[in-house]
Amino acid sequence: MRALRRVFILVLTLALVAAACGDDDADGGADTTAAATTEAPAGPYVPTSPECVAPSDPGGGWDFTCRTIGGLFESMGLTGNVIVTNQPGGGGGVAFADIAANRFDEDDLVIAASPATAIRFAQNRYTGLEADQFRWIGAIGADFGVVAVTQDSPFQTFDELVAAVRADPGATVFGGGSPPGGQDHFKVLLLAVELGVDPEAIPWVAYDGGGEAQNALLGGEIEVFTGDVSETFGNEDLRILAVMAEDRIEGMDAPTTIELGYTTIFPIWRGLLAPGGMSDEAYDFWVDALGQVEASDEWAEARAGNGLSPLRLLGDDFQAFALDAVASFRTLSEPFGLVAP
Amino acid sequence: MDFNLLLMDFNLWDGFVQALTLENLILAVIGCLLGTLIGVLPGIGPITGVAILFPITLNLGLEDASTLILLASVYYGTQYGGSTTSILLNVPGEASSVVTTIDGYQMAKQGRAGQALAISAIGSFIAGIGAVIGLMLFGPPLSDMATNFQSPEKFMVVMLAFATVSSLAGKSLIKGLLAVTLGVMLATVGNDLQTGVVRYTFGELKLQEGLDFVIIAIGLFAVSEVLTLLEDTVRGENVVFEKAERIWVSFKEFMFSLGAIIRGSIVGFFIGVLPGTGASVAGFMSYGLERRFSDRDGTFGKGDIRGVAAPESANNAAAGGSLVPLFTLGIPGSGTTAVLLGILISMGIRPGSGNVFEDSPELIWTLIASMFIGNAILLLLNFPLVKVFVQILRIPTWFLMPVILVISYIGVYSVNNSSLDITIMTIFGVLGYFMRKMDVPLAPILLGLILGDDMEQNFRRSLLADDGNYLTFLNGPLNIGLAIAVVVVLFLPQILNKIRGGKIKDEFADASAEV
Repeated sequence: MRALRRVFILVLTLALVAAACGDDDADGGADTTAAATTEAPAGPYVPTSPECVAPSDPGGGWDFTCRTIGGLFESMGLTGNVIVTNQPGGGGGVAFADIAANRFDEDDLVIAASPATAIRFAQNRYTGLEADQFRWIGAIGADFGVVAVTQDSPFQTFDELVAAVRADPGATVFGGGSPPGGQDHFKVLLLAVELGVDPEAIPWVAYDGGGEAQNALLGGEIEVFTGDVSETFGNEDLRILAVMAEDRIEGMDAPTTIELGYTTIFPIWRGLLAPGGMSDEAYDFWVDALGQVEASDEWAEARAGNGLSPLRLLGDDFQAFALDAVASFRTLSEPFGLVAP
Repeated sequence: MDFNLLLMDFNLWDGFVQALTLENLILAVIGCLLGTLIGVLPGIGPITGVAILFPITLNLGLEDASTLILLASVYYGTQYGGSTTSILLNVPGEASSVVTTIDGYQMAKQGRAGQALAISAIGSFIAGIGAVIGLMLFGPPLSDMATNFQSPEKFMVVMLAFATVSSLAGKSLIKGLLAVTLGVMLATVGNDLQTGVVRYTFGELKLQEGLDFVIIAIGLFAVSEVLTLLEDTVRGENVVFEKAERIWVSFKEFMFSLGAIIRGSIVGFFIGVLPGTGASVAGFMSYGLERRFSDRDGTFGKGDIRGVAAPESANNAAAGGSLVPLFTLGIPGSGTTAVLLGILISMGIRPGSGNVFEDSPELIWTLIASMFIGNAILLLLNFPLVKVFVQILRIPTWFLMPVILVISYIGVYSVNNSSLDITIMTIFGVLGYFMRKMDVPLAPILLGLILGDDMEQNFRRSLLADDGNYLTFLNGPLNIGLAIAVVVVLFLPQILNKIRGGKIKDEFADASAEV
């Protein structure tokens, strides 16, 4: 019995030591470690262990980007099996900090991105990191912001809502699925700036996701919900006053902000970016691969199934677009004290 | 409306089709077996079981529905397993079967352990099925009402859950409230939704999304339990086995207990529906009621089969009932359903926002179908395997407890590969150990942590949307009803306690290691 106990304690100790050794990559957080491929292979670049990092839990938009696009890379024969790594925490901060510190030179690594990524870069939420330290590969497909009210709302048109907000900015309660300075709130900020209304005067109630906000709209707690096309598409309880896009959305009987004579649009693009140390060869490969995915029928189907409109912004164009977006988000965030020091 | 109902039937059928795939069936059997084993182990209850297994199932790469089936089977299995040891050993495997020891162990001493085990299994089966039917009846219509539950109502429901759990869990109201408050304080860690400000993270990015409830649950429950049990081992425990020769019950005895089973099921279901009360409270309530109702010859407490049938039915029915507020409002009825809520959220399902019966029908109906199946599996398993399950108690504690500890640590580490998680879990393990020593109930801490954010955000949303008017919380009959319920729940047990000389309170207190 005593001997047995000793053996057992030994095993236990080993197990604990093994667990403790795991601490080394504790700050890494990723549950996959790409095989280091330091030897430069001859010929054109082909990823040996392609990986897409979704800086969030499974189920969100970034996760969708990685899984759908990663799956198409593979099924179209552009790469081998693409590992999708969920690295949640700090609204993406954990993943970006890890990649900047440990994986900045990897060629096989891409990261899912959306306007939320740009907003967080703009507000210095990715501590010590700037958007231009990364290589922006491209965006294919976009959701758009909507301004929604209930069917029994007094606001029949967008112009009526605009008139009410102009007359008394504090009287109409807006809400959405993000905190102040988040994606849904930015739709209100941008519109307020265009209308010349003090954005801070417009009441904003934050909910945990668009679903909860929609529920609050239907229950009468908020009067206007600034959500996305994909969240509100086909919901007959809602009246869409305006879609924040240039072109009308097929199947959605609502005017766009542009056709109503405003200039504000809010595309929620789905894209990829890469660590700044990625080689030019690898960057070109990923830009090209993403372009091929965008042109495919499979992507068109997956895109439509998720309420996304077509969009094709690749390589240097996307880099410039993304850095521009970061800059304008920063300009807008600063007066609200939303930019972290 | 008819169309709706038709659609629902179709969905339950769909659920059965999915739950009956070979893979899911195997998972349900494994879950039932594991759950029964966990239930048999003293102290390792449903919360600990589900919490420990969740991170491990994440690594199996199962479909969401399969994960839910596995964990729900574990949950049900623990309910069954707990009663086995109550009857044979006078050791309740988990809190909800404490009351079963009263008559169950007496029956075993009289050589009627077989009948006690059989009626417990049959009662649990009937109650489990009844509760699932209740869930199907009450779930979807209540879900439709979800838009009536706006921020003020949600805040009041959370207050009711807090009032109930602190009033019933533990020996003193003050300690219960203290535990809830601690949980709420822990819930403030992370990003604040209304301002975007980051609170109490000490610059740690990982804490921005708040403390992970699974880690806190495993720390508070599993780690502290192992510490307590290892300490107890030093004192030495000897368990006396009562034998069960043949596990069966005569038709006459079954008919004799049927009334108790039905009453227990109904009482249990509705207690389960109340937010903040769980299986153990249901067990005690139904035992008390059954004794009042049918104990004419004073046979209760001396081995009356109805004294086993009623609470065993009630605790199973409550387990099903507590899924009603979970699915419809996103308010968990007990510690275990709180863990289930966390799991659903991690799968991208947010009960309480929208109608889960319409938004994620595959998952919800598969889960409901798997409860039918799980109950049937458990009934079949329990008869032949009872003797095997009891053998697990022969495994020495010095071996078993460290193994559970290692499994817990590996499980938690595997979720995020983060040493911070391990540190947090250890801190809460030690904290939980001292709280046990001081009779501070642990379940309210968990409920406070999970619902604390709901409470705070709904409170602030209510005020934001209504221009800072505090009367918004008493606006409308629903809110006033909830406010009255909060007051009643907080003070009625105290008043009754005064009148009846402390009897009720002690019964509850004994049952309340886990709610």
